[in-house]
Amino acid sequence: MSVLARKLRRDVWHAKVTMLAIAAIMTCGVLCFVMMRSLYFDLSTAQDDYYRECRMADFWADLKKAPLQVVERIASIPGVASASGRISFLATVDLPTSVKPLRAQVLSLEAHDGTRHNRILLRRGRSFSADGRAEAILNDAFATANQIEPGDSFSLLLNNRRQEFRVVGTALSSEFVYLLGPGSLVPDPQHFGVVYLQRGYVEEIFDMQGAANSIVGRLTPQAAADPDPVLKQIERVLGPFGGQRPIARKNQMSHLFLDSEIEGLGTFATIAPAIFLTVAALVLNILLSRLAESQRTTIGTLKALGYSRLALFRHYLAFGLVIGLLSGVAGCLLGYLSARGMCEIYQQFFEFPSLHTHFYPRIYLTGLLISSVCAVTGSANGAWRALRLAPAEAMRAKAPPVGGRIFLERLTRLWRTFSFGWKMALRNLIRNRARTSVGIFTAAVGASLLVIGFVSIEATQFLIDFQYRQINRADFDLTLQREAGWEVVQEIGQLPGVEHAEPQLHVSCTLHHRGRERRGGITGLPSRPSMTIPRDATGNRLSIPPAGLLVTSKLAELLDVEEGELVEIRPTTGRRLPFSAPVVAIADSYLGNNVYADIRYLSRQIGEELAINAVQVKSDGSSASQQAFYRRVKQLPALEGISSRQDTIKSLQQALLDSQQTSIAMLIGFAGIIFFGGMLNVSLVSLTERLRELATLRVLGYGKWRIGGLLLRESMVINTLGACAGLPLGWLLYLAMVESYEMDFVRLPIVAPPWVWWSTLLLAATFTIAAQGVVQWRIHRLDWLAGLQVKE
Amino acid sequence: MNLQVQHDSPLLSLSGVGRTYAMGELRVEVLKNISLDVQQGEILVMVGPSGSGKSTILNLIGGMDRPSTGSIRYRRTELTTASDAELTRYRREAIGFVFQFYNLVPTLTARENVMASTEIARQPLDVDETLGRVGLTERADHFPAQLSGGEQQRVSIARALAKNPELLLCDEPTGALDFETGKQVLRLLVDLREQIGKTILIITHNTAIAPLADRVVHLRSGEITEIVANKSPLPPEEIVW
Ligand SMILES: Nc1ncnc2c1ncn2[C@@H]1O[C@H](COP(=O)(O)OP(=O)(O)O)[C@@H](O)[C@H]1O
Ligand SMILES: [Mg+2]
Repeated sequence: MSVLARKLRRDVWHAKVTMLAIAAIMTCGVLCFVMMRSLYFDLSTAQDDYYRECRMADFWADLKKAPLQVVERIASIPGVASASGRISFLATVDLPTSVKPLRAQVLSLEAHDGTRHNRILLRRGRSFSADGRAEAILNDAFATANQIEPGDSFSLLLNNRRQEFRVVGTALSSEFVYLLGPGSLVPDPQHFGVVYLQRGYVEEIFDMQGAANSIVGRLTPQAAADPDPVLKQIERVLGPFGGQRPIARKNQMSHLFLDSEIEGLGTFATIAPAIFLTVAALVLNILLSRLAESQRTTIGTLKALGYSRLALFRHYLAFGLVIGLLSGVAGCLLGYLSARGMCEIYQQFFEFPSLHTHFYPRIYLTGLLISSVCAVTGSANGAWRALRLAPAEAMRAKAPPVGGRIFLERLTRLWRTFSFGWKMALRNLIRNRARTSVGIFTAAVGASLLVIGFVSIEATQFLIDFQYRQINRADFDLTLQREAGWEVVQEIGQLPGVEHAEPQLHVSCTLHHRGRERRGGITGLPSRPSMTIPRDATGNRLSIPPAGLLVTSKLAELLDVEEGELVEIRPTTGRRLPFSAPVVAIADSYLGNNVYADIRYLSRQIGEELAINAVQVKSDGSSASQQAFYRRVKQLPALEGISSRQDTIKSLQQALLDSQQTSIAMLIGFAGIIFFGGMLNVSLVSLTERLRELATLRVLGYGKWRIGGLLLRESMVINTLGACAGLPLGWLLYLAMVESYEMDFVRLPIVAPPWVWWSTLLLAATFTIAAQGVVQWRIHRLDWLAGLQVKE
Repeated sequence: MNLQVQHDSPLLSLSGVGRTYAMGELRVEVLKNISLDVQQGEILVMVGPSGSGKSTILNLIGGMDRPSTGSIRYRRTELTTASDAELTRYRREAIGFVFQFYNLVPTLTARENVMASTEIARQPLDVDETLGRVGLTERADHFPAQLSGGEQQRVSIARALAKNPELLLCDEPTGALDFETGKQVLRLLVDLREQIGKTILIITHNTAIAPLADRVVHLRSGEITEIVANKSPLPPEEIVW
């Protein structure tokens, strides 16, 4: 080993605490990069493979009923590669393992594997037998969540009939990677699933012989790139059969969620590492500039011995490189492990035949490369100083730093109020501007991470609360298979445990305004609703206008419509008579693009006196009556589905908050590492730089704690300034995140209760004090006499 | 660049060397018109009060700095016009520095400090033999902080010597040492000349050291005031200060 290599090894060992702290920050960066990039590829390839294997459709069209010949006509439209018809319904499922009636999408499946699009992959059991009429295949997550095995029986409420089925197998399909029930935001396999039945059998039950109410198909590659014109043509063909504009793959729910996750990974795989690596490089720069400065004499001596400038430049760069490689390796390893962990978490949301993280040598190499480049950049300035130092100059004692007054001292009054310790700390902070700035920047980044994390938690809480405690206050939402009159409300009102029942009318429609078009639905409410209460942005209750619509803000924005303007409504169910209605007020909502109207007004618009197709229920909450309620509801022939607010809240909380907890824990950990590493370096560099000054104070009778106190003051000033700057920074970053969030039907609330700020400042201070602990330990171990002897 | 041995011309010759430092607006002339020849194998002592420009001359001779005016020739090589790389090679092959404060690399042991110079030299001496010559065989694996001042200075001399340079440049080699230790170090230097014929240039503010030189150069305010040849140099043991 060369002498310089030995020197490097020992110097690194001496500075191990500071170097490790920097390496930790850099490791976070590489970790994020490797984890997110790996997951990006894991998910993309899993998606591609899965889509290919199932022959994932490019479009989905819903219609009322059309003979299968129409499918041929659609297949012959230029741009459509193939199409197939199927039958799809929502139904109530009665599982032996569940008291509650559950909901499922029933899909017809060609017998003998004849399905051409959105094929299923069997997980357990077998496929349909040749004549097995009462056989069903369930989607695997639904079966698993409800402990259903092949061989078990269950019943479905189909077309007002109760039918018994035997589960023969469980399966997956690429169109349900992220399976959402109507109106939900997260998969809830406990309460919503997919039931596949043999086509012949479904035809019979629903009276759909030789017909379909759902057409899916694939487009030619050119058409898939720009599907709108082809979809318009399909819409024209399907129009007479009650068809709507087909949904392109990019707007299909499951695909949309999966894709936005993949896209998010792609974006954050760049942003997150950039943040960490910038911080690490800046802190490293401070450390190495100091190192080169403190080794002036050594640099001069080595030059005198005949070491070339290049050799010395490389020597100092090597310090950074050691950190870079160390963090690169650690980051790759941890990144790989985190990707593995994340795959497990993803499997709770995304149903793939298999989702594993793979080895990506190129990602690891890139990770190593970026950490090395970052490290070398961070040390370049220090190494450059070593290189630039004229040899003779290096040997001369450095002129004592100019001890001029700092500007604060001109404010004599103020200055006099500071104690000696504060004066020293402030002078030092202001004289070492570069270091102080890096410290403040570091703290600001750390604090902004905390703010983003805390605000996200709060926003999710707020969203759930606003949506399910403020707006929707019903304990149960029952949807009916077809429209009914007032008697259905009375009937449901008499079910056990029901305190109050309220009618609703949902009209699915497309909304048109100024050439813009959105799918959506209008909810008709009683004039004084007590269970669905539209609210404005500040949470105030909005009254239901006797005529006209209440439109939620996000939808209003998407349609570019304002209060007083007319919107054209084209219902997509029932008689489908288009009508125009004025927007009376704008309501606020975070989930779904709701439009509200008076139920009688809405009924009239669709040509009825009073139509009801959903009932909201307030229950007395006792579990005994709830059991009885569920038992009775299962018997309701008109029921299409029921959802319980409690279950919805629980599944949302589980899905959002629990997975958020992991990322928040990571964020706090990352912020901690940034704070700790940044503050530790700034303090320790300050300590070594002022060793002589502080040693003199020691001789004058200053205790070790008092010396530590001087450094703590500096850290606290830096930390406080940085953390305070981090508050608005984090807030702005969160706003940018909200802004860039692209889902049409979810809006992230913008909320910031005081606890967010206080917790951030408190945690920031805690991290800084933790770093100070190491500084204090260093102070206690220091050889102060040596400090007095240092001659530079 | 030719650093090879060549007899009967001086090893080193300075003519009309001046060095000016710009300090903001001010220009400080630290050396004025210095002309001096150094012969191969001689011990030259340069004395002058502190601040008279001794270290500046040494740095110029050692290729650590460049003169503002005049020329410095080492054998046939003109240092003033040499490139940075050539100066580095010159320092590496021709020059051995001994510093007042030893300037050992604190994180390297005595042996490693010596190796730091043998590693880059063309024809280095054996490291352990050199350490033995300065009497530090026992302490070879100690770090500088574990050595006394005299021992550190001996390591520093071993380091300068081990790369087998023609010219040893010593800047106040006894400046940080007590009387006895200082004399031991001087003995070592004189032995080196006697045993292996090195040329040695010692600069000091301590006039008492002058008698051991072959020639003494007196410096004052950046100018040579006189050069005195010494017919019979004293052995270091007989020097007192
Ligand atoms: N780089 C420099 N910049 C400005 N002045 C310098 C520089 N180097 C040396 N000097 C000045 O030159 C003078 C001679 O310095 P030096 O050669 O170190 O003297 P000596 O070694 O004889 O004590 C001193 O006044 C010193 O301050
Ligand atoms: Mg000097």
